[in-house]
Amino acid sequence: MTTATEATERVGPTSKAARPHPIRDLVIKRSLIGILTLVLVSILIFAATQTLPGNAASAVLLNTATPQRLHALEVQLGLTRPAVEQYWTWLTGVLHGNFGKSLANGQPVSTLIGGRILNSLVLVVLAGAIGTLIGVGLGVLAAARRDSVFDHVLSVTSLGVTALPEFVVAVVLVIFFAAVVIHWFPAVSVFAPGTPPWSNPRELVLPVATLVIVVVPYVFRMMRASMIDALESDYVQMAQLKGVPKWRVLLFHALPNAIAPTIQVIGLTFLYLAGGVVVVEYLFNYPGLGQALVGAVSDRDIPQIQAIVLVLAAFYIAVNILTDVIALAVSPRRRLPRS
Amino acid sequence: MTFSRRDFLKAGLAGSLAVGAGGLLSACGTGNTIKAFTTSTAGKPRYGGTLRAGLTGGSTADTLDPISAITNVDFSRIDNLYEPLIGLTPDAQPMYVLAEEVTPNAKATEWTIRVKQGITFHNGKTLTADDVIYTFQQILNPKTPGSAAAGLASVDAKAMTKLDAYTARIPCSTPFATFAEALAIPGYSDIIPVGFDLAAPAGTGPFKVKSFSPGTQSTFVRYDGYWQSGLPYLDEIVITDYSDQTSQVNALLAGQVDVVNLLSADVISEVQGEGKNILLSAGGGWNPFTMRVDTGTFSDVRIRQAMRLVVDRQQMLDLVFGGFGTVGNDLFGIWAPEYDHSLPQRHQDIDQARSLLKAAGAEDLHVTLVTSDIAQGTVLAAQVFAQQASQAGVTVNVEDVTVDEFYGTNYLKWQFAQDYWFYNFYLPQVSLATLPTASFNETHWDNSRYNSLYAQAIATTDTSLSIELAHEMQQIEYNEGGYIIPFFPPVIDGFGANVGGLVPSKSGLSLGAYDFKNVWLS
Amino acid sequence: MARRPEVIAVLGRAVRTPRGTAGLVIAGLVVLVAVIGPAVAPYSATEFVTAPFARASSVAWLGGDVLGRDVLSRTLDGGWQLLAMAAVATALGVVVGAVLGVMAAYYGGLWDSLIMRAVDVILAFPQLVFALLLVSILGPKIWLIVLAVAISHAPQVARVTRSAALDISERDFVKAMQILGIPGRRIIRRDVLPNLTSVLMVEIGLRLTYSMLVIAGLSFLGFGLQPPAASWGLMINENRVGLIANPWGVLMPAILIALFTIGVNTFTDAVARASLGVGGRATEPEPIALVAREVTG
Repeated sequence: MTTATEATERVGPTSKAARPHPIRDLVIKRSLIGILTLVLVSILIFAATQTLPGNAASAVLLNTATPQRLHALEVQLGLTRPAVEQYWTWLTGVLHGNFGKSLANGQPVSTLIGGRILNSLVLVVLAGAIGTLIGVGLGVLAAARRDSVFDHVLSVTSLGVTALPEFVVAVVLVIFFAAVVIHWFPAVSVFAPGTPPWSNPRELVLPVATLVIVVVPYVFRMMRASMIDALESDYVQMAQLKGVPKWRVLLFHALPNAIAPTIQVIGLTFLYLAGGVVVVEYLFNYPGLGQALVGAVSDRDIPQIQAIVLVLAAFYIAVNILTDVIALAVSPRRRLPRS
Repeated sequence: MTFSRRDFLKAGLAGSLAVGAGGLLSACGTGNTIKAFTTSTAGKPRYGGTLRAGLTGGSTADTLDPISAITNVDFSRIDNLYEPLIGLTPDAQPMYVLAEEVTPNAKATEWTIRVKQGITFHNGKTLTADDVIYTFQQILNPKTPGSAAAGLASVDAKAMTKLDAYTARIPCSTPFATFAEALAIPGYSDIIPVGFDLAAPAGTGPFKVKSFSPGTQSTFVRYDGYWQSGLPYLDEIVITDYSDQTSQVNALLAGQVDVVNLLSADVISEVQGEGKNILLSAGGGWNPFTMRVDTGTFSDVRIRQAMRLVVDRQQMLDLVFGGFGTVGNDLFGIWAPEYDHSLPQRHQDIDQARSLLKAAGAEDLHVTLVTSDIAQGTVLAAQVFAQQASQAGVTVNVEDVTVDEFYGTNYLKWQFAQDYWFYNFYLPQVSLATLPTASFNETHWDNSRYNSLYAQAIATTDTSLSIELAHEMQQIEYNEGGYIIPFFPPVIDGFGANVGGLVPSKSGLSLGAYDFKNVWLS
Repeated sequence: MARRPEVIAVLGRAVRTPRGTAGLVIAGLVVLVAVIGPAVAPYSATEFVTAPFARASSVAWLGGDVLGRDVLSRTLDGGWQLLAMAAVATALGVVVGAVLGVMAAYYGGLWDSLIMRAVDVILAFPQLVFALLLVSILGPKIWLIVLAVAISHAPQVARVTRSAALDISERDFVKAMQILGIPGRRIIRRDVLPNLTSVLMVEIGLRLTYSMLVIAGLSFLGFGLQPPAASWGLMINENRVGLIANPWGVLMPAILIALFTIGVNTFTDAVARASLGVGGRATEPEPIALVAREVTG
């Protein structure tokens, strides 16, 4: 876990004490590393695509692909230029804000995926926020009633749910709530390009519900574990002995101390969701980044793949940095070196 | 079945419906109780409404350019924005659309095309011979050839001339008696105006573009200046790309779309169970297994014939397409007038296959079949073939590759693979597939007798002679060819109860060849 | 000196608890089905015995799949490949990750930076996306799928082991040995690694289930094992279209995958609990406790 990593960096006591802004330095340093990482990632992906037996031209032409047509299209798409030159053109373009043109249809990549970024972001944020709230709430409750029936039922259920692949959850939800048993919600979440995803909230229900169901068990278990830890600490025992009401103890004494390790899991949750949307978007035909990635990969549309991967990687790095910042902010003792 | 090439083009006025009967084919061997397929239960034509289509088969490579249309779904847009000189009836026979007359000279080296008058494009321009010439120039542009360039290779694009405002003369560098037939194939003669700009596409079709996001959604609105008065009925069409059949069907059942395409037979009962309808067409597209005859295992004709004999064709249809579709006889062009229905239908004959293999010294044959998800049912059919071949002692190793790898550098070089074709007439299909000069000669077939027969057939305008020649060519294909054509796959689409006017089409394109101008919503 | 048996001791303790037994039995049953399955299947995995998606009958106890093959036989045939792939991917990922993590922690400095930067690059992807990209670019070959999943595990394992190893490396007894001049490799092998066992065992359990789910997810999206392989992930994908007609083609493999995951998770649970009391140390290194707490709940 990152926080532990950060905390165990070998820095002598003097240099740490001399820096007044550990958080700001952390952000700067990690951002720089993040940018380097993004460049490395893009090189990696590009290099991998050069080993393809097929390419965007054959993916577009399909069974009309005579050798002549194939070659003509490859020249047109710039695929016959040396790999380094292709990559360099792309990189310099990106630095000017130009993500190139899709090999499949010639449209600017930024137009193609711009709206989709927002769509996927809405799913991730909604599912992450709702999942966190439910997970934290259930975790606190279960810890407060440890070893009760309620606790055991929750634990077993969460164990079972994490064992299910995401697509099974999605399929079951669709069968029950949309297509066969009852028709409360739409079975697919399709809206015209250019319209914001919140314009028809009913279409968001099932995709978000799928993601929430998959994500809650992890948050729940972590929250419960660290709540139990906190409830057994001297600080809380003291408060209970002093006669503070149970609910106050829970919320104001135990919870603040238990939240720190859970921050890690919440961060991981958002990271997981960035990948989890792929399957959900596929099943609900949701016009997001995950669906676009699956399509771009099938089409061997290198500029689109690069752009989507960069967006995902940037999101990952940003969430990582944010998680570490929050964790550091919430637990001051971790800013000090270990004794 | 005699007719003259000039006659059959007069068969139908554009726009008239040759109503194909519903419930064409029986689902034998599956024991399903499937309701008879209806064409339309939605009452009488009514103006207005928005048709929502949920279609699979699209991607970000979707295009509005009729010159380079490629996929089944591309035609859902192309067929409604543009129109061809000659089109196909629901029975897959040619009929005049934009053209009034298309006639050859005696040697079939020159064609005269006269277009109808009073037809306008979406941009207001009137259709003239200039547009016809411009279109063919675009298709045959050597730097950026269109999808139809291979099939129209005989046309001498540089020497095209205008005889008068509405008549063009198209000379051919080699005799091309089947030019008119070829024009009927989707994508071969969709006319675009001079100075066509893909950013603001204009055609003569019943709908024009309102918005287009490739891989996501496109919207089309009624063209009020459409030359066939009274059509179209719909105000608007919204086509949404789907990546997955399950979400497509779910959307249909939930009422979020009105029509869906390219369903597999497995969902028929689910769709009908929820009150929606199925449109079943006996498609003319064909998905062969291709064996290279020039080198390797299959250069021995006995082995090729043995492979053709291990296939239980009806079982393949039963397992892959729910029993729908048409059994094939290793010959293409099933709806073409030249198709020789008198050749005996091949059945599975394991004993004969075994003895052929033994004679060829290949009793314990191991082969690799390269398959890919290039069309509906391809990969399933490959698995069925492998299982059936094992009965004759042949071990087939099925190798599934990605689509782009399949059509990459090894395309047309695979020893043993599959492919898919849209419907085409007989001689045009030959020019694309079974000649040494053919662009898509997967089997590397080069038979000199066959070639000379073709050279005669392509140069004659005497239909009965060309049918005779074609029959002899098919006899050779039947006995020696490199194709295994076990079936012609069905086309299964779904539509809601409020959709009227859909007619099954034998062209192999979905939803009645996407003929939305005749569709209404009740 | 008594380090080796400690692993066994922890495992033994875990097995004797109710959770441990339950987990082992459930997971073991699934493994048994996968291993013995091909021998007891009534039909071969490729023969056609009934109509596509036919309902359960006396001919085919779980009905037919997309091509009318016997769902029961294909389920029995389709487990070992998936389990083997998941096991190998997990083992590879954990071994590589652990080695890298320990090296980074122990040697520090340049090694540390290099390894952790490489880790960050790979971690900049969601696991499924990473595997999907690799597999779709280079083709759905078995060895590649295993490699892709393994590579996607290694960084996370590296991070966890690095944290745990760092913690141990800071301890006095290790520093003492360094002063005494004992070579680093020996210290790592004999003193650092064995103390990581509980962390590693828990990681192995978690990773094994993730491997299965990722490989099944890849198959679901069409990027996993290809036909005609009879594999549970592939079965879920190819039979999905007939879910309403005959759900067993999808449910049976999904249930088995789920059972295996539940069994392994429960057993891992027990191992984590059993390891909490190991070592006789007054304070637990935080990362180990964190991970242990996470799974015991």
